[in-house]
Amino acid sequence: MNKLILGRYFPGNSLIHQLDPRAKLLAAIGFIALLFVAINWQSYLLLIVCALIVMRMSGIAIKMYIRGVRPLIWLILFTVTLQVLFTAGGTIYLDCGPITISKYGLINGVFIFCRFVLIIFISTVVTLTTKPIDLTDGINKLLSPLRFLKVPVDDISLMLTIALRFIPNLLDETQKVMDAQRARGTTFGEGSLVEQMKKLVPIIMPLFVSSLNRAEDMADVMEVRGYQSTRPRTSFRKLAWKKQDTIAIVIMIILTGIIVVLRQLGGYYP
Amino acid sequence: MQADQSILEVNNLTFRYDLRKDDKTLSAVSFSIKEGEWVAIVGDNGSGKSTLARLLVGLLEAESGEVKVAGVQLTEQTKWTIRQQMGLVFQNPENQFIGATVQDDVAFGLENNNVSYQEMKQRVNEAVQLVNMEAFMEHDPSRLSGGQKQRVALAGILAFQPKIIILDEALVMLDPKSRRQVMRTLQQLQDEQGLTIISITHDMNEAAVADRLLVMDKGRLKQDATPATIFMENPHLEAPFAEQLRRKLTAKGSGITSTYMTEDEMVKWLCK
Amino acid sequence: MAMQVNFKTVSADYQIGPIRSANILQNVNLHLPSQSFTAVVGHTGAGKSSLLKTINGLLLPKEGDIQVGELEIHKEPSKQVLKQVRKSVGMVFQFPEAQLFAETVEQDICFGPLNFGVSRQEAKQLVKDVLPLVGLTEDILQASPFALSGGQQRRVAIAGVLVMKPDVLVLDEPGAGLDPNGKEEILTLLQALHNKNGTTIILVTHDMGDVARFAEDVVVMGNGTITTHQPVRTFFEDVKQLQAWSLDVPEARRFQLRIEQETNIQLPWTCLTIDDLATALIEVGLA
Repeated sequence: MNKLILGRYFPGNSLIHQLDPRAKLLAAIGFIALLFVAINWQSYLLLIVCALIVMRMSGIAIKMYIRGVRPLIWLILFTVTLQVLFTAGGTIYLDCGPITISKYGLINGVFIFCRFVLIIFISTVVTLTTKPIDLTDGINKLLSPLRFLKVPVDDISLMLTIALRFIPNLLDETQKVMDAQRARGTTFGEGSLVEQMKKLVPIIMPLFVSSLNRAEDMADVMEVRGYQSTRPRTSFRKLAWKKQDTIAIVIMIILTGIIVVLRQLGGYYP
Repeated sequence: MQADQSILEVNNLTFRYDLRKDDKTLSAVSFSIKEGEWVAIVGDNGSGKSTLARLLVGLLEAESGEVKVAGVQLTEQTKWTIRQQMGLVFQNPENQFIGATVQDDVAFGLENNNVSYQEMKQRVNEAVQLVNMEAFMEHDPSRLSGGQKQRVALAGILAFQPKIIILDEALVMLDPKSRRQVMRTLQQLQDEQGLTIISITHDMNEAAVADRLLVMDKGRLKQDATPATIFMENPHLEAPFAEQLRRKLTAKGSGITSTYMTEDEMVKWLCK
Repeated sequence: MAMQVNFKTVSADYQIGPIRSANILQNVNLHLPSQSFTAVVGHTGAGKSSLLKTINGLLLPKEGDIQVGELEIHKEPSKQVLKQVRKSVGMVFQFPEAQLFAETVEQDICFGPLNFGVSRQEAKQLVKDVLPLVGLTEDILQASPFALSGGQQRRVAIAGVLVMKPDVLVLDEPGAGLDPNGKEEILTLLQALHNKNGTTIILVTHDMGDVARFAEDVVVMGNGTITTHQPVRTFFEDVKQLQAWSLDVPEARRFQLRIEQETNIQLPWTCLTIDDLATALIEVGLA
C-alpha cells in the first residue's frame, strides 16, 4: 500500500510547490490537452523536455514519478501493442492477415506511449506538490462558475475534502484490524482462493462497522457545528494568485502557440 | 424576571431509542440551569447522559417533554438558531475532525455561520490559544495525541463563542496537567463572560469544581444538589480525591470531620 | 507456565501506509522477568505500541532479537515460531472491540482457538471457561457482538484474547473509554490473572494512578528507546525526574508532596495509593 504514489503529497518548498493550486490545475489540464494536439515528433520532444524540466523543478526524485507509472504499465503496453498492430500505413515490416506492423503503426505506438506516460507524470507533479486540501480548494474555485447552473459546487468540494480525510484513517484502521486478527492467529496470503476470501471477513466486517459509526459521528458533528448545505458559507482558506502563477499560465499559452504552429508546419508523420 | 435567570430549562424530557420497547433511555427528566452556572452530570455508562446531551442540541427528538434555551423552545425550526448559542463537544475526538489542519477544523463552524474572513482568522487564533494548541495550527488533527485532539475539538466550539457549552466526556484523554489548565480556562470564561458549562463526566475531580451536580441513574435524574451534598449522601458514588481520602481516614479510625471537604479544606485540616 | 520476555539490541521500523512518520525502536535492551507486571509509559510516538507489537511478532526487528520464553523472534522468523509466539502472547489492542466481526459472541471468541488448530468442540469449552474471567455469563454467547454495550464489547474482545490462555499478556490502554467502574473491573481482572496464573503482564497506559496501583515495575520510553526500567515505588520517589520526563504524579503522591511541603513533616514512605497515604498520615499523627 505504501508503494502507491497517486494521491500522495510530498512536502517541499520548490517553485512548483508554491504555485497556486488553480494555476497548477489549469496548466496540467492545458498540458494534457496539448498532448492530443501534438502530432509530430518535434512537438512530443518539446513536451517531454518541458515535463522533465517541471519534474526537476519540483525537487522530487524522478524515481518517484516512474513509480507512479509502474502500476499502469501493463495497461499502457496493452494499448500501445493494439495501436502498433492495428495501424496501417507507410512501410510494412510484417504482415499476417489483419495484423500488420507498419511504420505508421510503430510511430503511433511511440506517440501513444509518450502520451500516457506524460499524462501520468504531469498529474503526479500536481498531486505530489499540492496539499490535498489545496487541491480541493482549487477544484472548488475552478468549478465555481458552475454554481450558476445550480451545480452544488460547495457540497462537492466538501465531499472531496472529507473523502480525502477518510483515506488515511481507513488505512490506519485496516492495519490495526489486520494486526489484531493476526495476533489472534490468522495468517494472510495462505491457502486456496476461497480460504483467502474467507479470511477477509474478519477484516472487512469491523472496517464496515467502524466506517458506519465514523460517518454517523461525523454527520452529528457537522450538524452541531451548524453545517447546512442550503446556507451560504464563508471560506477560511483563501488562495492567493501571485505573479509566478500568471507567469506559469503565460508560459503555458506560449507552449500552446508553439505546438499549434508545429502542427501546422509539420505533416502528420515525419 | 424569573424567565431571564435560567438559560436552559428541561421539562419532563422522555426518550426511547426503540419505540417498540418499554424501557426508556430517559424518563421524565427535568432541571433548569442558570446563566453562568457550571453544572456537572454524572452517572454510569448507559444512565442516559449522552442521550440527554444529544436531546439538548436537537440531534435526537424527544418523545415528550421540552427543552427551552434562553426562553425559546427547541423545535425543528429553532434548532439551528439555538445551536449558535449552544455548543456540544463530543466524547470521541477521532471522528470529530472535518478540516485537514487544526486551524481549518476550528474554522469549520464559523464558515458554516457565514462569519467574515477577518473575524474568522481572529476567532480561530483566539480559540486555539485558549487551549494552548497554537504550535499546531498547520498540523493534521488526526495525527495528534488523544489529549491534543480533544483540545482541538474544544477550540472548534470555543471559536463559536456559544453561551452554553456542553462537554460530553470531552476532557478524558487529557493528561491531568493539561486538564487542570483547560478547566482553569473554562472557569475564567465562566467568570468573565458568563459562559454556562454543562460537563458530562466520569472524572469526579472534574465534577467537584461544578456549582451543581446532577446524578443520572438508569435514565432518571436521581439527584440535583451541590457536590458536597451529593458526595456526603452517596457513599457508593466514586468521590473526588480529597473525599476518598477523608472516607479512607474515617475507615481507619482517624478523628477527621464527618463532612465533605475540598482538597484545600483537607490540607488546612491536616496542617492545623 | 509463565514466560519471560527479553529484548536484545532490538531495532525496528515501520513502513505502514503513506505519509506516516516511521515509528522506530532503537537498540532496545529490556528484560521482563517471568510473572512480572510491567507498565510501559511515555508520550505519544515514544514507541510504546511498537514495543508491544514486536513481542507478538507483528513488527519484526531489523536488528537484534526478542526472546519470549524459549522462542526467539529475529529478522526472519519461521512461520511455526510466529504461530507459537502468537499462541503464547496474548495481545489486546487499544479499543479492542474494533476487532469484533462474527455473527455471535461465541463465534468471535472461538476465532483465535480455531486459527490455532483447536477443535470446534474444544474451542467451545474454552469459551465457556473464559467467560467468568471477564465477568460475562453464558446467556450472552448467542447474541450479536454489535448489539452489546461498549463495556460488554470490550470484555468480549478481551475474552477473545484470553481464551488462548496466554502466558504473556500485552495490553494497550485496555481501560480507555470505559467508565471508572468498567475500567476498574478490567484492571482488577488483569491483576487476578497475574496473581493466580502467574501471567506475565505488560501494560501500556498513560494513567499514573493505574501504574501506581497495579504495576510492579515501570518502563519509560522516549524516542524509541528505553529511558528507564525501575520498580514502581522507586520510580515515583524521584518527583524531579518525573517532571523532567513530563510524566504525571499519581494523586496520592501529589497530595503527599503538598502536605510534606506545608507541614514540613516527612511521611515515612512513598505513597502510591490512597490507602498508603491514609496509613502514613495516621502514622505521623497528622490525621
